[in-house]
Order: sequence, then structure tokens, then C-alpha cells
Amino acid sequence: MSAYADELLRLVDSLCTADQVQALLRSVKGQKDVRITAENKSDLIERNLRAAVTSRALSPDQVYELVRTAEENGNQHIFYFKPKGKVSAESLRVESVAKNLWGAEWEKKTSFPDVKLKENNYIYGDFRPWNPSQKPRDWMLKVYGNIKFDRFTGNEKEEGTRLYKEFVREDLRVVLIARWNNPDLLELRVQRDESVRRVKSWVDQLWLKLGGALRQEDFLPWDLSKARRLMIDEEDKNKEIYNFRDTRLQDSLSNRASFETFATQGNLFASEEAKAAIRDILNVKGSKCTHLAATWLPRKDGVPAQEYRTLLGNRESNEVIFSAHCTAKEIDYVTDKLRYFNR
Amino acid sequence: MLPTNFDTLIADRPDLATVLTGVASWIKHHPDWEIIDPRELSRSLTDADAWALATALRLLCDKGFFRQVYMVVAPSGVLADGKYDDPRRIPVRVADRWNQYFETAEADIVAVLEARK
Repeated sequence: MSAYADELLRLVDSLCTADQVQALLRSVKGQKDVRITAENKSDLIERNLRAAVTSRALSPDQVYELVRTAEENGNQHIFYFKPKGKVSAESLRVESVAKNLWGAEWEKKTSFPDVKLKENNYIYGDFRPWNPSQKPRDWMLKVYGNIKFDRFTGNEKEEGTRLYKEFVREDLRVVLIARWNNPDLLELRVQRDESVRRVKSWVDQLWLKLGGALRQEDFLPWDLSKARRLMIDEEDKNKEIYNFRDTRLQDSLSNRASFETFATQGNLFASEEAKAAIRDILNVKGSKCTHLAATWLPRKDGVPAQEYRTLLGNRESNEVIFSAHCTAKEIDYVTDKLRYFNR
Repeated sequence: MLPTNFDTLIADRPDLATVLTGVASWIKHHPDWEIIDPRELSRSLTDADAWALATALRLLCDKGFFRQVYMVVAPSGVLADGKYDDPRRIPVRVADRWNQYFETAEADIVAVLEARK
């Protein structure tokens, strides 16, 4: 096994579920050294998956595809931006972006995908068209980072008047993604994290890495206020598409009101009094919805496959938190709905 | 929706019929809830005897309708995302509904019932 394959297996362990690994193994069922079942996830990866790769029933590229899907889609903050008028369509093409970042013959100078990390550094990990058959102008740039951070273990010790808290220094693997979603949206995707400062620094890092091809000042945050408002106004006729769990409103005097369902799967508008109160506040000129936790309901075509929750608006008005891992199609589905409601 | 047909259980334990019917009625009144929080349930079933209610909930778990898991109460008083089989596995910090993280050591942990899968 190469170091690349070893690293891939480590990533599968940290990013993918046992079901996803079994689905991959099932795709080559019947070939030599392919076993589907295992007693636990560790055995599934270290024994079954490793054996399948060693015997070449599965190629490292197929394993990378599994990692790629898991780390690129969901459990993220996505910040949406729109290009200002002066950004030419030509400068946003796949080839133009690549040439501006790495020069002519960029494919010879780079070796994507590259999953290796550099300690305390950010490196380009991948660049490719996003969905060449359906959207030939879309592309994706991936940046891998490795940072050290101090995690509080929860252990405390008291000695006299001194209190000691235990922290452990850990490595954090960071995955940052810029995706051009033709014709009008740039998505900056960063993984979820409890530190607001880290999330902001990762967005800054992405702009820095894009710098050779795109300038931050040529893009405007895509304010999703209209979408949040219209989704509330049109909830009655879209009951099969979404419902709400929580919302936060700001009235004309900048007072804040939060509405949260008690249970985590609740539907806020199942309560007539909550619905009336929310609409009363929003009907006054100058009031707005700053946060909206929307649950997108499953559809027959499998996109979304199950209920999927997003928080529309967080610290930034162009920010959406995708709460869990999902598929690329599911994120595109939500983005397309936001395009519709933000009209 | 959570299970509400407790007829076989009521046939076995007629002494708990009133409280089991009350639990089923409460579930029907909260069709979007994926858990029963005994605190909310007991606030609604004010006429129910506390001992009978506790016995009924234990029985519903023992008979395989529900299982007990633990959840964290967010500072605003609602439940935070995340269910845990063992309270010792609850992370040091979790997010509230607005993605603000808080220390679980300062929060209430509640035992709730979810449908057994």
C-alpha cells in the first residue's frame, strides 16, 4: 500500500460512515478479497477496505471519490457571493481560473487530487470541473489545511486557591472549498466549527488562495433576507417543500424576538399562535427575519433523500449552515431553491 | 409520529389504562415530536398520578415501544440537537439553535424517550 492509500484510509475512518464504506465495497462484490461485513467500523476499513484496495478490486481513485463526497458536501457553513458587473464570464471559466492560479500548462505543474497535509499550513488539494456533463462552466477549488488547536477536555483540578483546567493540543484537518456555481454564484464552503474566529479566518484563507484568479472586492455577499421573508410568506403553498423549526426576527426598532420549537424535529408553524405572532412582526415596515432554520422535506426523486436542515442566515446574511453531511445534489437543490426565493 | 397504539399493553395492565391513554393522546397532540420529554408530559397530564406515569413510561420502554436517551437543554430552554445513549458521552460543548456553543457542564441533561428503531 502506498502512503497515499494509507492516508486515504485514515480519511475514510474520520469522514465516512460504515454504511458508505459498505456501499462502496458492495459495488465490487464478488471480486477477489472483497468482504462486506465486519464486526465494527475499524475492522471494516482496516481489514475489508484495505484488502479490497491491496487486491485492486478497488482503486485508490474510487476510495478518494468516497472521501471527496463526504468532505465536500454538508456539515459546513456556505457563504454565497455574487460577482459584480465588471467580472467577465471569461475570467470565471475553468481554464482561466487555473491558468491565473498556476500559470500555463497548470496540469503538468500540479498533481491533483493531493490529500497530504503540511503542518500549520494551507495547500491546494484539488481543482476540477464540478459537473462537466450537466454544468460545464462550474468548477471547484479545494484547499487543505492543518492547524494546531487547544481543546479543553473538561477536566479541572483545584489546588488551594489555584484552579487548573486541562487542555490537549490537537491537529485539526481543515477542508476549504470554493465552488463556482454558474451563472451567478460563488460558494465559499468551510467546515463547521465552534470557533467563530476560526470560521472567519478560513473564509479569509479561501479568498487568499483564490487571489491569483478572483478578487474579493469584485464580489458582493448575496444577501438572503428576501429568501427568508418570502419563504415565511409563502409557507402555506410550499408545505411539501419545507417547514420551519426556528426563526429570529428583528422589528422596526431593532428589538429581537426568537421563536424555537421545543423538540428538535418540531414544525414552528404547526402552532397557529406562533405563526400569527411571526407574521404580525414581519408585517410592520422595517422588520425582518435574520435567521431561519428551514427543514427541506424529502422528495420522490431522492433529493433530498430525507429531511435536511439548514440555518439560513447566521452571523452573516449570505451565510447558510448545512447541518449534516449530504450529497452534492442536495446542496445544489437548496441553492436552487434559494435562488428562486431570493428573487 | 411516535407510536400511539398501546391496546395490548392496556389489556395487560388495565390499572394503567388511564395514564397510557393520556400518553397516546399527548403524542397525537404533538405529531411533529420525535421524542417524549417526561417533564413536558407530566406538565400536560396534570391529573395523572406521578407513580403511575413513571410506571407506564418504564413499561413502554420495557415492552420495546421506546428507548431512553439523553439530550441537553440549551440556554433558551429548548432541546439542543444530539441524542446520547450514555450521558458520559455528551461533548463538553454543544451548539444551540443559533450555532452558539455552550458548556454542557452548565446545562440541564434530560432523559427522554424516542421510538425504538
